[in-house]
Amino acid sequence: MMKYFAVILDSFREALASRVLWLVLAAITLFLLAIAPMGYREEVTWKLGDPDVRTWQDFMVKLRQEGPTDKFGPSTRIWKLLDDDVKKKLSTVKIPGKDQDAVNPWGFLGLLSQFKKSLNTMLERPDFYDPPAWKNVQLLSRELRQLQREKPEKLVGKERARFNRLLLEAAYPDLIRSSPPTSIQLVYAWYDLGPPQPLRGTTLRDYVQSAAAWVMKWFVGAIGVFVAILVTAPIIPQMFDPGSLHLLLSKPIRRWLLFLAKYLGGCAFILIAATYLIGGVWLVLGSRFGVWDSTLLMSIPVYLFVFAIYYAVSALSGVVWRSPIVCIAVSIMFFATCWLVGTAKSAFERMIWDKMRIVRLLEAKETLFAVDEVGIVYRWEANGSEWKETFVSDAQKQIRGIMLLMPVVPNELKPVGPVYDAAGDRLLSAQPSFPPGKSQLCVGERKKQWESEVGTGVPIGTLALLNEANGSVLAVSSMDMQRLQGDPLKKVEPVKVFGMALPSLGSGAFRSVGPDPPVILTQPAAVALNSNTGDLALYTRGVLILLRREANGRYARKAEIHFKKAERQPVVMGFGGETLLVGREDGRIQVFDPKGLRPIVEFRPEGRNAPRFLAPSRDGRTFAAVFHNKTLWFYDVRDRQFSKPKIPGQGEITTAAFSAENKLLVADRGMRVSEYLPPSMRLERRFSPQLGLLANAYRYGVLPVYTVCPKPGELDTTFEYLLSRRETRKDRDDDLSAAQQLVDPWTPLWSSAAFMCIVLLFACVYIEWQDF
Amino acid sequence: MNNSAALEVSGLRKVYRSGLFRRSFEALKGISFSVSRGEIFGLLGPNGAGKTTLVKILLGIARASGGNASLLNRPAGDLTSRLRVGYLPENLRIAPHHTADTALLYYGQLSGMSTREIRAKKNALLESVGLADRAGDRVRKYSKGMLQRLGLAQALLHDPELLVLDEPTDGLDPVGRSHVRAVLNRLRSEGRTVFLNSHILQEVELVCDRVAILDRGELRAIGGVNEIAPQRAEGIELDLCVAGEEADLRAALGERGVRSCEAIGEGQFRLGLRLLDQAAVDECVDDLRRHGMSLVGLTRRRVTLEDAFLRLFAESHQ
Repeated sequence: MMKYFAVILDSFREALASRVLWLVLAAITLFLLAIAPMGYREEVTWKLGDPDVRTWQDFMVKLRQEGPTDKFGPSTRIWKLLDDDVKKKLSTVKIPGKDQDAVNPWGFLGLLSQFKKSLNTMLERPDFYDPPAWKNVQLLSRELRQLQREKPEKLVGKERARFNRLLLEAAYPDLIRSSPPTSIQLVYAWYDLGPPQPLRGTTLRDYVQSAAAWVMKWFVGAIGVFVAILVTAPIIPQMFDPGSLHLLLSKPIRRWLLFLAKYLGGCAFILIAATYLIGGVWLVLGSRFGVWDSTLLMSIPVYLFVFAIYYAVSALSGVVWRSPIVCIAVSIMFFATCWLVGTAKSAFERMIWDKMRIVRLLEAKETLFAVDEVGIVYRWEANGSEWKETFVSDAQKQIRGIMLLMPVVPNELKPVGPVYDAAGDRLLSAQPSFPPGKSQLCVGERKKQWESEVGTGVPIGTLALLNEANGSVLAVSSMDMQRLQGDPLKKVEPVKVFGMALPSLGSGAFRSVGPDPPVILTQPAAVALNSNTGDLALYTRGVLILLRREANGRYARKAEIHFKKAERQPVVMGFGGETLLVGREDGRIQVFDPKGLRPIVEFRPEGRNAPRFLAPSRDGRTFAAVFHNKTLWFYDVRDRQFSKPKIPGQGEITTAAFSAENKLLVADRGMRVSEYLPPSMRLERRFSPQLGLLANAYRYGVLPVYTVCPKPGELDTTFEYLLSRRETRKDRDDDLSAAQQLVDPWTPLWSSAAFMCIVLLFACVYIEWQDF
Repeated sequence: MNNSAALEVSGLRKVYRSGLFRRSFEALKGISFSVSRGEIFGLLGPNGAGKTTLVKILLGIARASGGNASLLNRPAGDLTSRLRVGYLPENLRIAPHHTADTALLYYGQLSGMSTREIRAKKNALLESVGLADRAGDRVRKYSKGMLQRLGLAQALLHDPELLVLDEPTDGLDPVGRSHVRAVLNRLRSEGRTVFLNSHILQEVELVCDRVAILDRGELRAIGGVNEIAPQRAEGIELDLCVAGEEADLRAALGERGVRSCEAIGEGQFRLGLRLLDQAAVDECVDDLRRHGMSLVGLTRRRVTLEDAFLRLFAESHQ
């Protein structure tokens, strides 16, 4: 092995003798030296900067008008303390936007500069605060009151200036923005960079951390790899120079090991350069910003791995064509191919495949409905073995094209529902409206082939349409709960004021059903109705409320708990029988006893992957939990245990629901629905439609090519997963039931590693069998 | 297989295929010969004769299409055999980042030597090839001759049993050539086997025990230097310098074997003659004297390996 070690060592010797390495190291050193003086200073906020005053012109005009008067107040006090020259100019110079005949902007800009300087000098004065001048000013700020209690005359230095600044903010709340107690002053060596920023040190560190991650991904990850390929491209072709190759091959060494040793030599060379660069950045960020982020150091092996993949391609090209230029060209073509395949897959997934996934299943007697990710409703046609679009409103038809182009469809564009109204044998949904507030109910009756008809208005801010235990339809809005009690097709003429239609207040067929006082639902919010007991669970910003339907049909509060601040995250809920499940975004599922909302036990079946849907069985004894990483679990209420059923499609399951016969309907692989009989999970029926052209192109064309192709550009997802342990990426922060992107942490790793091994193997075989 | 042979080739063939239609070209057409241990063997041949192909096959750089080749009783190209072979390639290129010291360290390690062994031998070896005072200089500053000598040093570093030298004196000045000859003679005295591939026939003639002549993939001749040159000679070649009248000279020689004639001064002529045998030489001298010509000088020209090679080459192309 010493022979091969000598080859690796020789690569270093060669690199050390080359100008390129020294140029690269010099460039890195210059970069590190350039960023080393960057830093920050946390200081008391007192100075008035440009962004601190909403409109300087307004402020100056106000002082000009109020300052010279006899009415004693903050303006007269400030006017008194202003420099005479500034006062004189303020009275004479025309202010653009305020004075009609203002034509000289330079005069105004000069004044503004002087005015700011004078004002900031004034803030340092011990006599700025004159109590009678501020006697009519409301001192709302707790910090100001605290400083006032500490006797203002005893305050010194920056504390006094801070007090004066707070007095200014209190005197002109509409003109001067309130400021945090401390600000961040970015510095470069001894120089301040711009005005202090209203940030805390921890916030700045977060910014710096994310900026560093971004720089590492794009600057080091993309440009760095390209530079590294440029630098290392000649190593393998140079080996094939006949004068040196014949001598090398005459030595008692194996050709393929010689090649691999040269390859490793190139990688080791880049490892040293990358360690110097990333380690240097880590030291600078740590020592100057306090960001001792070890993940930055972990990016060294990730970067090296990405480089090793590209370098394998470059090395193979070097073996076959023996030209550094060809090596670079082939590496760039390889990069372009990987990028194209990745982009095609991502485009297909986000625009077609992800949007057609079934996320809700609904039974209407013998008819099965499915709802896709953008809210389109499908009806299963047994004759044609297909999902047929149905109950599509005009609004949906209008915005459908836009929705397909959107990477993430906001909830505001999706209908709420549908829900099945058994009494009228019809589907009901609340369609989105523009502007919000004019949302109307859409009604699709079986007798009219489920065609969507616009009906009555729905309450403002309707979050959910639910079926109560007796089958009636309940609309839960952010301000109220209303039951559908009349004809849903009854239209209400909007109230018009000065020709403008006012938002519907929920009149028409909906009637308020309490509670009193109403529960205001602000995001993040979630709603779950127990179809066994009729109880309703509401969650809003860390508060869980249980409502019970009284004999008079109205809802009343029965229990309420407040979670700790750290637990005010979005949740999903499932409510059935004697159990309420609350799923959290950190992957926990908490089991509550609805009587008094007492927490019983909590689970984390899928680690840190969050649940998306929690569906109770009809008898309330079992819950189906579908997670964002598309796996299905069961919760057995009696055994208080989670179990993962062994059914096909795990990892691709998008939703699950229990049928009226307590059978489990599971949607997976886009639009396939399977009906299982628990607990044996025997397959009863399968609703498997023919895929369309684009879906087929994705499933049988793009996806296999993508799977086989290496994905060096996606290795940051593996890195991200190792840090977060989450297999999904959020698009929305306030809705846990909104779709999350599935992050596949291991496929980029194994496919890239496999590709690299195959390329190196091919190069080894080629070099072993080739005559030179 | 002959156990005393350092190198043995039997029916060796090599076919190269190239181009879109895989056109074939036969570089070696079933050649057979052997080189004994302790022998200095020279391989001669014009460009494209297949010499380099043969060397490549012997060292495992190219694969044979047929036949057998062995080095030191191991199949050619085998790792063990390569461990015992020192090789100096034609147009040697040593990476410019090396000095003589680091180059010897690198190639010595590749030949399976430890760093300590290399350090112990390196200085004496550099001294013997005349590079001791430039050992620390980068090879990019070396002349071609210095590079060749460094190449020779690396080939000798691990005490190989067989040395394969491809044009070892190429680019060397007369002093350098003399150095190389001295090294080869020393190797001969140490009983090492040397396989020499050279265009410079005088070099081969001076140092080789046996030679083989390869042409267009076929072995044309093989044997001792003293065997090949005379067997190719036809008659005796003479260089004559005579003084006298031109008319007398013409009368004395007639049409007898005159290959060249030039006047070199007042009444003096230089002649080149090819005569059948010693009797014809005597008769020619008698005739010159009889016609009053004075014999200023007479040299018998020896038939060199080069002459033999050129004749052989001319014959094969006729």
